[in-house]
Amino acid sequence: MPQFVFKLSLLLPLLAGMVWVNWSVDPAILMIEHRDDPTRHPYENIIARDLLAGRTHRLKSIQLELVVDELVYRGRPQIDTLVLGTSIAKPIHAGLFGGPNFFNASVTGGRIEEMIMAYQLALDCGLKPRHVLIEVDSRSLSPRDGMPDSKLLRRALGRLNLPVETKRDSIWHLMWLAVEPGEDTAGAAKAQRPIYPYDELISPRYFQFTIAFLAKQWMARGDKPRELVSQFGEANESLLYPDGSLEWWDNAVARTPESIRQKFAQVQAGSLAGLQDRPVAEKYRMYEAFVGDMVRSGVDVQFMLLPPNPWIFEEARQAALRAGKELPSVETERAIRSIAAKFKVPVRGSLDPRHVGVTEADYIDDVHLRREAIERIFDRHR
Amino acid sequence: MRFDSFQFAVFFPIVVALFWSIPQRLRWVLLLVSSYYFYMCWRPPYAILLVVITAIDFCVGRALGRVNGAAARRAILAVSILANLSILFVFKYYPFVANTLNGWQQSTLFPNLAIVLPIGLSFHTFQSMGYMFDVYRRKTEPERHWGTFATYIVFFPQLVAGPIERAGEMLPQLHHYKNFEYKRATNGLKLMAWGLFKKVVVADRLATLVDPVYGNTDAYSAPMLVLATVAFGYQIYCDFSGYTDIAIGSAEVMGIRLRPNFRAPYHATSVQEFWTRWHMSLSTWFRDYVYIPLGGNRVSPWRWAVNILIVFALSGIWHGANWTFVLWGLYHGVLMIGERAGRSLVAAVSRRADPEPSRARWRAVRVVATFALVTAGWVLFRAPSVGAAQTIFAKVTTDWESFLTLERVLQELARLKWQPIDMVVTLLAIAVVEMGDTLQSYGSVRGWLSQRPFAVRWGAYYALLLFIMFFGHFSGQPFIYFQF
Repeated sequence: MPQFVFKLSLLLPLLAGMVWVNWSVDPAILMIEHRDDPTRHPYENIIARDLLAGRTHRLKSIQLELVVDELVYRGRPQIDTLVLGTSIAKPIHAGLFGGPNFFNASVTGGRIEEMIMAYQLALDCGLKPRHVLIEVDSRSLSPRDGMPDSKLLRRALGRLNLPVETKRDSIWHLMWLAVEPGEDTAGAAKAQRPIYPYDELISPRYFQFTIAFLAKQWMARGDKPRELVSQFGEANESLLYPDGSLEWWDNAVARTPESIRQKFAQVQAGSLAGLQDRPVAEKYRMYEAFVGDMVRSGVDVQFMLLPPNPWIFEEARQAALRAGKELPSVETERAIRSIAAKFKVPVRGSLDPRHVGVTEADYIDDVHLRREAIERIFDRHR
Repeated sequence: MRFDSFQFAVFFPIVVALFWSIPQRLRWVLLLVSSYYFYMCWRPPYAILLVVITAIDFCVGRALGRVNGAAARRAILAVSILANLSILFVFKYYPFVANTLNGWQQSTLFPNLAIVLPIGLSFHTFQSMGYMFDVYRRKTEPERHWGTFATYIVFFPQLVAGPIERAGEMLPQLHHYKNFEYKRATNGLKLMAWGLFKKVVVADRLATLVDPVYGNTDAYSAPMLVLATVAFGYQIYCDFSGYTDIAIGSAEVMGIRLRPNFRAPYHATSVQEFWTRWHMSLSTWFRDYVYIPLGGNRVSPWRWAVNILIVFALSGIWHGANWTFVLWGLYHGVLMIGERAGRSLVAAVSRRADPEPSRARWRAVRVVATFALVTAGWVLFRAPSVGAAQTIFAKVTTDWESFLTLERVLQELARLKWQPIDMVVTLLAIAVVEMGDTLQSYGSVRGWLSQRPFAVRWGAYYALLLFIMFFGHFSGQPFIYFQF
């Protein structure tokens, strides 16, 4: 038996070799540890190169915006004004603030966690923003399904003395999930693999994918860079400016209030724009800790409240009235204003479109304002 | 749980490590629990079926051991056969029978039950029935230990796709487990690696060509249909024999010997010989429990021909509930009859053509002819319907012009995303398989390899495993015989 085990161990170099190749190359960036590594994201590097060179970039594919942010931070000696928010804040541009050292680090689909990470990245890159604008919308304080699994976030939350609530199953639970008998039609593997993506390290399929990737790279060496192929089509490519702000794609800009109403007619209004989501204490505490930390560091913080489409808002408000309840976004705005009052932070705008003077024509969908509408809101609330 | 899955790669070493660590008297417990776990990874509630079959047959076996009267023994045997065949009928054949009868009567008299076929049902049912017949004939003593009997029925290496084991060969091994033997264990691992090679490098790669072509036979040219059929012949061989090798190898690691199931079937010089080399455990089962009780070849030629057709029709039906399988079985039955009838004629023709026949040349002709006949039968086996099979035969026999150029075939291969590298790898892998089969006919390849110097041995092992790593097609394709 010892001889058998020893001879089996002679096969370990094969396994180790496969693991090493899969781990070190990881072309699909499956491993969580590699997701924050900017060197592994070629498209994001292309975007950042354009922005740092002062060029506009047409977005041809989905990108990891935090990776772009980090690459820009590393290339800029100073950023005085930083915008943190979601895609709603993307059209906020340098012209609204004056000064060259402006950057919009908003993250599409992001929440307070992404804002904290974007700010932490700036600190990690040695930048000390003097002004930070935080965009707030109806979803800002509502609960979120699962936190991003990121070392950066854990570090940032740790710095703010906030609990790290990344959901991780215990090793025992993962082991049980791995061995639990279950539906396995004709022997096919279970859809949910508890130790994914780490089982891909010993996956011959991923190994072959990696080798093919390396082979293509080797064969393409010396070739001039190929033009990027758009995944969206030209009419659906947004324009990213060197200051990090965005101009929406042509098809979105062409939308009319009627076409937007038609598009969302089947969806219950309140479920859009996060108007049914009640704020939760956990998110309130995160905003409080985040803003408080920046204020204590001498950063000039401002809140920018951007409302949803007035049509959506009115439908949700009427539905809330009929139910005899308060619209959750009213509670959200109240909470944000209380944080602002506590730290003496100015608040611009409102989550109620009636107070901001916007119309349906100012929107490209349920929540996203046109660039010129945001400019008008800024002018109105200077 | 598939043999080529990550789950099995974790499961098997743990079972083997425990197997060799625990006392011999407890090994049946480990094998029983692990085999049920193995089965339940597919669909847990269906384990109840296994429990039911095991319980019925264990009790029937014990009863047969106690009862002596012929009529009573026949009645008891009938209980077991009825129970096993009823389960098989309900889960496997009822939808086919119901659809056929509804079609004939143009009614919906027989409801369509949406039942999922339990994996490996045909295999363990026949294994269980074989035990019953052997006990009835007093060839085997009824098993007294329920745990050992249950382990015999559900032993995981051969549970879902054979080989169909005989009680007389396997039960003694489950009573007297062997001690660990280094050579046996390493031989088992080598066989498992070889089986994996056949499955993921050859069979799963060929599936990417066969499945789309047979899924849309109208859209492909005659040469492509022929190519896909030949490819299917190798796909099913490498898939099934690959599975069997892994099954036999994994049992061998635990010191349990399973019967071989294949012996270079495409090297057969006649259809009769083919059936002594292909899925041997099933063909011997039909021989011993159907063909011989019907009289075998000790009957008149006409009666013999009827027996052959019955056996092969049943063999076809065993494979699946579709008229194509029945036709496939009957096709082979007709070939067997034709071979026997034409044997003397063929001998006379060959002597006339070549008075001093070159044995090798004549053998090569017969091998190629047998391969062609068997491949033609695969059309029926693989086609989704009789109509699709008809389409294929009609195209191949009438569209002669398309065989004159390769251009269309190359275009169709490109459409299926088959690159030149795929063709090279596949042909090379098939050549390796055929070489392996040829060498095996001269003596044990594993035995020969184990006597080579360390560098040669380990060079061969690494070469095989690297080939699997680089060229294996890990698409999660299920084993073909799982559906039976």
